[in-house]
Amino acid sequence: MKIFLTKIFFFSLAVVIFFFLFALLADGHADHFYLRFTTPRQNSLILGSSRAAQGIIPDVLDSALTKDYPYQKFYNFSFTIAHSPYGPVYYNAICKKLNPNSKNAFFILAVDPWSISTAQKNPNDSSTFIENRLALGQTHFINLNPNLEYLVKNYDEPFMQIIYKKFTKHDELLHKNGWLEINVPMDSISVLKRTRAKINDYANNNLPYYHFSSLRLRYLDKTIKMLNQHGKVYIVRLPVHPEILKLEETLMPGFDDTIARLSNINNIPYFNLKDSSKHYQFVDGNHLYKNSSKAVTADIANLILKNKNLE
Amino acid sequence: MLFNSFDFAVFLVIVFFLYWFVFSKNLKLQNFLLFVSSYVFYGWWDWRFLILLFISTIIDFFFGLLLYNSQNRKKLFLFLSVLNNIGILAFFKYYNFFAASFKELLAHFRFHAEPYFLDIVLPVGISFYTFHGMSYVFDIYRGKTLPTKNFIDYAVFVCFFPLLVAGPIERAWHLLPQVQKKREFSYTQSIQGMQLILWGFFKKVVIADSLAPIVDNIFSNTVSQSGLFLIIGVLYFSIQIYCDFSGYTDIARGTARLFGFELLVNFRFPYFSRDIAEFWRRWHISLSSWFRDYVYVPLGGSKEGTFKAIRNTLIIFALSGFWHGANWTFIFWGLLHAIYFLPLLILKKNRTNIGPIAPNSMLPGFREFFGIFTTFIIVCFAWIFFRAANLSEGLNYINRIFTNKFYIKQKIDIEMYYLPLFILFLFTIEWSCRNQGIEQFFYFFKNRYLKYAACFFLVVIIILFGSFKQNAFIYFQF
Repeated sequence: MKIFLTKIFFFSLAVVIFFFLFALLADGHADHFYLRFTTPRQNSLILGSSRAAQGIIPDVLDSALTKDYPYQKFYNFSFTIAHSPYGPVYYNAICKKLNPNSKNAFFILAVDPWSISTAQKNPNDSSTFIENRLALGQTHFINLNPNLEYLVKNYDEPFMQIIYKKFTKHDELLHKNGWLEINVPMDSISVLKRTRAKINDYANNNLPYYHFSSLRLRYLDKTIKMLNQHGKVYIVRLPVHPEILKLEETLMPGFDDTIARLSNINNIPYFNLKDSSKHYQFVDGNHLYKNSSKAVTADIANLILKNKNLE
Repeated sequence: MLFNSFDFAVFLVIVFFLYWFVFSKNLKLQNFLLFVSSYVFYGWWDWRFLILLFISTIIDFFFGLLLYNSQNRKKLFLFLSVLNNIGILAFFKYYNFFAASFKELLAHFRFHAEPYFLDIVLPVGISFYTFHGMSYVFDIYRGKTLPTKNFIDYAVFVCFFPLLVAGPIERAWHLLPQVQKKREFSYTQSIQGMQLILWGFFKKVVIADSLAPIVDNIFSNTVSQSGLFLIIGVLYFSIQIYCDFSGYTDIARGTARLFGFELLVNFRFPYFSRDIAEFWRRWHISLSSWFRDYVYVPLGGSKEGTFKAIRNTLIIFALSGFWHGANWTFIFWGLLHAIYFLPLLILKKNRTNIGPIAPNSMLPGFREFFGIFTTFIIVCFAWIFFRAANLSEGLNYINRIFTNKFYIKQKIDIEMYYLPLFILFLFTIEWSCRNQGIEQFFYFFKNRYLKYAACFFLVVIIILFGSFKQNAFIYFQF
């Protein structure tokens, strides 16, 4: 028995070491989330769903604010409407990602009706929220490099894809600062095709099932209050294609009023960019193309600076 | 709990340590641990079905005792026990099928009926544990085994976690004495167990689970597939189902060895069979031998004339198909195999190929190769109906192989490049072990460091190329 256990132990150790070394190869090509689970705790955060993940670029904010705040470094900790709507799971993940000693930091919270809604029958039963079963809900350690727990629990493809994607040309790259860069053909036919598909998807697969969740709204408020202790919080509504905006108005007609009330209560600014869609280019009507992401982020930076000057 | 899950890895380590370090001195406690851990293992899916498992177990346990002690009511108790097991199966697995078929039959005669359909989930492994129970009472009835008076021993025989949900279907004469006897830890047995587990995982997560999405895609979009891809779909499904099920059996047998148990061999490289009769001596052996011993032989087997032999063959193949699921496709699949088998039976050639395959050479002779090739092709053909949702879909699939354009240029995923290499690796290794068993693979390496290197190589392949989406094993649904 002793020999058996010793051999199994050393063999398992060799396997773990191999896996550990292999995991070090994983980079921003591995998937849309992995790198965000490998970085240390952060000071200034960009939060929200995939719109924010692709639409708000930390580097652009850093350089725009560098004159007034030279040591400020933003980190994009946004995922998708399934992974990171406001709620207990995202709140706990933010707490784990945030440096507890962070002071005078900046927090940009992207909001939209989906981020405070849910597709569950009882929109206020957090035990049934879909994110419980996804990466943020399943991963205990979110600041480890390499993050074996994330890979074991959440990596959906064979691990050899980590190497394959690393060394082959790829359209998607998660940057070290958390920004997700997507490169897709932007000719009018491709964009139209993707936009139609996205609008259909939201109209048929999301809108009929999503309901406003007062619990999620409470968690948005709780998140704001918690982040307010570490710095300045800004709520942002990013622009989308008018057809998707229409769907959002149907889902939650009083959304802007609700958010405006929330910002008043917490004494924080609300930058509503929903009507500026004509100035930007979208990949699929829902996500901004990277050039437009730069422009939107620059606009947000200007709004932050203007707001600071008014204070 | 799935074998290919993190939960199972933790569970196995805990049970192994408790078994050999805490309860090793007391057989009763060891068996009790196996009983409890098997119920935890099963209840991980849905604890409510534990009640059914427990009731089924306790009824067969008492019928076993009653049957043994009775002088003149043996047949009655046997009948009641079989009725109980078949009743459970009929209710949970077949009721809706019978109701739907009855409705269709009436509709055929222009009668309308609205039978009541049950809205229940099929309990995992129900066909396996009910067959365990039945083999126990059959063997007592025939005097082949003695009943145990210890309920826990019997419960472990029925629900031992490695075999509970997908077999092998054990026999009381084989497993029960092992449960009742004190087990000693064996280094060799445990190492072989680990090697079997490793090989099983290779088959399951590297091959079967990687093939699954490709096969699903081909079978669900037959209209847009080329003839070539439809042929590849059938070949891949044949390999998928073999690797999925035999991979499960290898993991089950390997796990049982860690606890000092030897389970029945369920697969002996069936795709190297030289005729269909040999295929059935090598594929899901525990099920085919179950039907042979408890249905075919009591019906008279092949010893009461050709007509009865044909009748009995049709019965066991149809039953064998029906055992897999409540669908006409499975019955058709079984009968198709009966049609393959009957010419051999009638010409008395069904036991021609019982010796080793290509015993003195690396490669098969032309005759053997031809036999292996044709058997594989007809087995693959039958799998189409096994995999199809209904008979017309199966027929459509075959039709489209010939009517769709044979080759269409399409985007091929990277899996399509490396999977054939792994399949080639699998069959090369299995071919080299064809007459001894897969354990032989690890004996090729005389140098122990080479042996470790081979195991490590397998682990690396499993980690890098395995699909860890926790796909359930196909045979769980049966």
